[in-house]
Amino acid sequence: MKLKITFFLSGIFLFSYGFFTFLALGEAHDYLNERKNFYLKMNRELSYKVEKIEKLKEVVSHENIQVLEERKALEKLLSKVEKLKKTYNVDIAEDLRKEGNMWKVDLFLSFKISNSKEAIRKMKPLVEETSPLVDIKAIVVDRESGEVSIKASLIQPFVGREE
Amino acid sequence: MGKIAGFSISENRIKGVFLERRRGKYFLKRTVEGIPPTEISGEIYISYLYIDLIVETVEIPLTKDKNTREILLKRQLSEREGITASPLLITYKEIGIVENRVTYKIYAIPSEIYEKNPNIPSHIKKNLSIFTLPQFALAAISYQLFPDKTVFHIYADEYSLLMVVSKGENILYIRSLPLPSFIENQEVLKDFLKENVGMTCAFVIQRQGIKPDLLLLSGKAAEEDLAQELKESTHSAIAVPLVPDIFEGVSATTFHLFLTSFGSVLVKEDYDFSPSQEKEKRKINRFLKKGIIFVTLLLITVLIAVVYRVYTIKEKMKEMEELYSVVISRTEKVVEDPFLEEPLFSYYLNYVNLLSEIRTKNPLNFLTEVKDLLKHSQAKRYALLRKGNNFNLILQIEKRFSGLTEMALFRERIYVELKKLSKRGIAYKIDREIKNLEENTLKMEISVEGNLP
Repeated sequence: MKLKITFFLSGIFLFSYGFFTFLALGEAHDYLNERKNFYLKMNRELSYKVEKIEKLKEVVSHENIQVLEERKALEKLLSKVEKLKKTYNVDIAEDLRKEGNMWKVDLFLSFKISNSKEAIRKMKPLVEETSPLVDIKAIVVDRESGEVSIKASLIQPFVGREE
Repeated sequence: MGKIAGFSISENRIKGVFLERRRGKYFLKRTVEGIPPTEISGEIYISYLYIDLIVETVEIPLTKDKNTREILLKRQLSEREGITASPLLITYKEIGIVENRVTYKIYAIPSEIYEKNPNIPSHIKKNLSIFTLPQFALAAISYQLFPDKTVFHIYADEYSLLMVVSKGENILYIRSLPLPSFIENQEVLKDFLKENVGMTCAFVIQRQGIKPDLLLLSGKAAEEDLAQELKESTHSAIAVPLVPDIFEGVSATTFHLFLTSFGSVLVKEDYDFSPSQEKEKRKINRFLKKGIIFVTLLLITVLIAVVYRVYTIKEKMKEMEELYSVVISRTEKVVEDPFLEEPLFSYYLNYVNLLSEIRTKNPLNFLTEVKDLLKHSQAKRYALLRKGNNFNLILQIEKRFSGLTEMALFRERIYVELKKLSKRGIAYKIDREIKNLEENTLKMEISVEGNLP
């Protein structure tokens, strides 16, 4: 009888111990699951970021974006202004200035056209320009006189720390 | 599968059957004769022949506590005339209740029959399930064979003549007689049986008012030529017990020879004469047995569950470690990319974002939206500009017509184009409209405004 009682009580104790161990293991299992989901999320985010970086690299390569120091960027911007002078009548709308890590100048560009093809030919280089960037803000077309006026900002970013 | 042993002990004669319980049936393994139950495993049922069984009807107040009830019953019993033996072992059955007083039928034997019985050693008592008398074993056989009938069971062996009247599980009457020493031959036995059975039968029918449906003759009583005479005197059906279906592998001869041994395994706890403490111990023992089985099953289940959980945790850890190393190696690879070094990465990122913004917000993009309007209006001047998050088109139209019809049609066409734009969510406003009907000229100033993509 004593042996049976001992066996029975030991059984109950072992069962309780096993049961609580099972519960504790369940918590550990849940914790590991959480960690696994966390790493899965991290992995997905990493994939997303890597994809974004690859796309950025593609764009940089495709648009031939060069790394320019502050002085080189200024030279490039002014050289572009000089070039524009040859094709368009150039007036300064707002003078050269530095905004953060960018050189910027606002210009009025005007030119005469005899037909729409000429208009496209003259505007296309502006639209496609990547260094410096040409931000067209307004276009005015006078059909009678054949004059086209453009208000645009020339922007040249450069490498450097924000001031 | 349970091992069971049923013993019938009469003075120094011991008869035993060893059975195995499977699927609700008892399979006979072997029989023994003359050997006291010693080394036996499993449950043991013993019916011990005691002729002077005390049968009394006692009335006590209603009480729910079992111990109090037994004390009251024993006290009442000890006060009865002719009962000198003490202490007693009792079994009892409630037979009626009137105004909080309960009537019980009590069966009692002296406790020394159990306590000091040389045929029941103490180690056997530990495994004992039921300790009863053959009278109750006979009633159990009667119930097993004829559960709905009032059966008058007559059994005789070398030592006794037992007569038990029962209906269902209830015992109605018991009479036990020792076989006298002067019975030397079959004739004397026959006379003895005839006389006593006939007398008892008449007593049961006339005095007790019990009409047996059936007279069951077993043991030596079945061998003697009693049947005819009893049939005439009692007008009841007479039968010899067949082997009940509950027993397997038992021949009719074996069954008759070991009838009380077989019957003892069928006796219910109601007719167990074991002392109360023993019964309690047995109950605890049974509970412990079942409890141990239950706890063992639970332990096995928990053990399997724990092992399974450990296995899944290991798997999960393996998966996690693999994933962690993938994330770390990918992160290291990304971090090592010179493209991501600062301030280079910020430069590229801002550059590309600015380029994308400039291209998206280019007012020339709006041209495709308004090209039909521009084409049909033949505007003298127009301006495309960006205002906050909107594109604007300002048209100045100055046109001379050959007639008013042309002017009206032109104007109508302009409105059609403007409405088309309006359906596409592009708003318009006529700022000025001057018609000179003498000179057939039309001057219009129109503003069109749409959202940036």
